[in-house]
Amino acid sequence: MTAQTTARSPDRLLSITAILLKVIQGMLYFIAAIVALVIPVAWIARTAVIAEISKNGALHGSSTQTMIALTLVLLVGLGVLVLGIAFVRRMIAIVGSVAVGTPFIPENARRLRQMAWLVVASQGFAFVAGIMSAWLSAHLPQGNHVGFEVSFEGILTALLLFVLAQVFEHGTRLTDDAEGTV
Amino acid sequence: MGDDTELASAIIVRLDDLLHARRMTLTELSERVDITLANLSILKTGKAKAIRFSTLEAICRELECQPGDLLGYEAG
Repeated sequence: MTAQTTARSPDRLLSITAILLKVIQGMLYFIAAIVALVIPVAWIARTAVIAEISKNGALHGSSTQTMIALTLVLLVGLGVLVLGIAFVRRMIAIVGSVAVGTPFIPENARRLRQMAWLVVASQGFAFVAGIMSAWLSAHLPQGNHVGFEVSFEGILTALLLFVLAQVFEHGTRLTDDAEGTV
Repeated sequence: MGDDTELASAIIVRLDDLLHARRMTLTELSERVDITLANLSILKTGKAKAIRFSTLEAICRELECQPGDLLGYEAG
């Protein structure tokens, strides 16, 4: 059963969405690669990094503690980026299935559920980062670098995605029923 | 219920016989009743899971038959 969309606007909106998502995905990959590179490089050049950070004020603890704090911040950032990439990839897959006229497939319900868990996980990361932030900002005199916060929107988004997954499961059942109808 | 689609249905479709009696091909019927050839094939080969009344009406109109001529029930 193919969905013959005769309306122009939804098609165009879908194409724009697909393009935007691919751009975002590219950006996330790029930034994640940079962050992943920065971590080992920072350790290799730790004396230079410590010297740079010390310019803004004396270190609180040892230079190793400062390096660990920096690494943790970067790891949390990398984690959130990886979750974001996984999220966007699934979204691109869903949009793709809509484009070919088969949105109500079991895979999409599964993808939506996974996307919901990804949002939950990134909220978890933000929560952990929030707990660490006092310790982190003490060791990174440039102030609180940690910009992650558990957000109401994030929780709502996760819930919305769980609901959508259920909706798509229902849609899949309906589509299956309709498939054999002449 | 959306269960096993591989179970043979007890409902039989006698489209072949009726087409033959009217000297009509499936393609011709498809054009007359505005139902896709694919759907008619599904019906003919017994793979259909459900039939709309509108489809039933159109077929009975063109083949000049009753639903009971087109569909049958064979238990077991």
